[in-house]
Amino acid sequence: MAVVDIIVAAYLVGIIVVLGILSTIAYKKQVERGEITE
Amino acid sequence: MVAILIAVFYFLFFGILFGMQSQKKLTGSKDFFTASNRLGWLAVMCSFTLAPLGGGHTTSLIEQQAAMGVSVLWWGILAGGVYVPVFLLWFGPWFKKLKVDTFPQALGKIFGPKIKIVNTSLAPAGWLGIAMSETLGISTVIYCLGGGKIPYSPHCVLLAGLLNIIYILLGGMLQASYMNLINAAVLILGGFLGVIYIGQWLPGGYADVSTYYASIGEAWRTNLFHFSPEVVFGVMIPVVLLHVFSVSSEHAMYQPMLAAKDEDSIRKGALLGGIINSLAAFPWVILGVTAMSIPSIASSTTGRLSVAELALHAMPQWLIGILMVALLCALLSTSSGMILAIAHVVTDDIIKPILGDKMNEASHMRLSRWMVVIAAAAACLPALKVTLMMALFFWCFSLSLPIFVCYFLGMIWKVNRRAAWINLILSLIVNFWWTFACPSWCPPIFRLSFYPVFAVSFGLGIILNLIMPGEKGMLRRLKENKYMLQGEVTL
Repeated sequence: MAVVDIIVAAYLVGIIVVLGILSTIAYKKQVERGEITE
Repeated sequence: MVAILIAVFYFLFFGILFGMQSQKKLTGSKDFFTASNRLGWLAVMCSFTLAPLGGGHTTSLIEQQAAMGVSVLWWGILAGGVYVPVFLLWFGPWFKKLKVDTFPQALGKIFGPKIKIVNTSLAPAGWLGIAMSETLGISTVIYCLGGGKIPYSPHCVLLAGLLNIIYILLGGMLQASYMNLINAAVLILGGFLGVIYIGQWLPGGYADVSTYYASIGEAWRTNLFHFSPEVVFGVMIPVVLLHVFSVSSEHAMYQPMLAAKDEDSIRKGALLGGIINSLAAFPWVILGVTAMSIPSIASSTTGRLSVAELALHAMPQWLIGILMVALLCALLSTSSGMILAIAHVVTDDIIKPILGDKMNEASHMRLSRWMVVIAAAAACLPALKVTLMMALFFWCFSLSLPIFVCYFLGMIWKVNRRAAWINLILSLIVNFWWTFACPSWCPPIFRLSFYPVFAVSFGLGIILNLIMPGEKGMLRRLKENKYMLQGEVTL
């Protein structure tokens, strides 16, 4: 796999991590507010 | 430069016209992403048909025909003949029954809210990778349109990003549906206008192309039924697997379903949508195969640029402009659809739940538009440095594949949360393994990551659901609830 592919993959994995953290916060906030049950 | 002016004028004019018209019709911020149940069957059909019809049906086939001839058309034939009817007759109406606003919400409704975390983090990154790939295609078309006079990076890439934004910024899904209505017609008519013109331009018509390939012992290039292993394992099986089990989890496919008046409006377009989706691939392959039969073009270019070379060689500027507008219709409908889907999921499934009551109508609308701009910019950023990303393209598709397999099994058969979690995690590991460290013992035709990901995901889905207890499939539960409600009304 070319170096540029690795760089773009790292960019996308970084986005996955950021979205994962934000999604987890969103889930916990909704549980706190009682909008969803854990 | 006439060609590029035609293309830019077309998208600016219709983008602003439809943008302003649709903006007036938005009754609330929710309308921006869903057009709230107001589209009839024709608008739903055009919007859905163009959503998966991007580089895969056009620029990718132009490149592949150089090695496989016209048999690469099976990509378009099977996408339109299998995927479009299956989605519009079943998958789309199923989603409508769930009464949710995004695909992650649908998965959450089946397997519990925590699984949304996986979907809202993995899938948008995969969609962004696809939007990046389409943006690269748009940049290349703009570069060819300008005859190579406009620098590819950053000018062509930034112009591609701007066109993506213009397509959806003002009116969101409603604007995209208006654009797609006219673009579906331009895509087909523009493509075939080019085919007719070249047929007239060739001294002996298209018979010249067949005669040329027969004379060099490569008559298979003009044979649609040339089922070589490369065609079967590189085109026919991948197009069905990728579309039915991966593209079906892309939220961009479900936005037209959310916008549909009712389930009938979704189903009505199944046949015509399939025909349009299939037909859209034909002009580019015919022109590509023709270009490679002209020795002066074939010797000076690659398959990827063959149609552009033929157009510059044989067509007047006005026709090059129309042909390129047709190609941009395909690429922009897909990339802007992906960008709108990313913006929708991030806004409604991540930011809105975090802010809760702090978000009112006006701030939701403002945030929605900003997310469109941010997602378009995120798709452009790598395109400034990269010109091709084929291996990653399949990695992105494979990110979504297990998500849809779990959803599919949960809808039609059985719901077991633990089985779904195990399936998603193991399939993700296999995807990373196959993409970044493909084992040496793997046969070349199975090196694309979606083969092992599909096998692991579907195999695990069936085995785990057989050995673990679970609830009834969602469709059966919805049916029972409907009968219960009908019974209550009767009583």
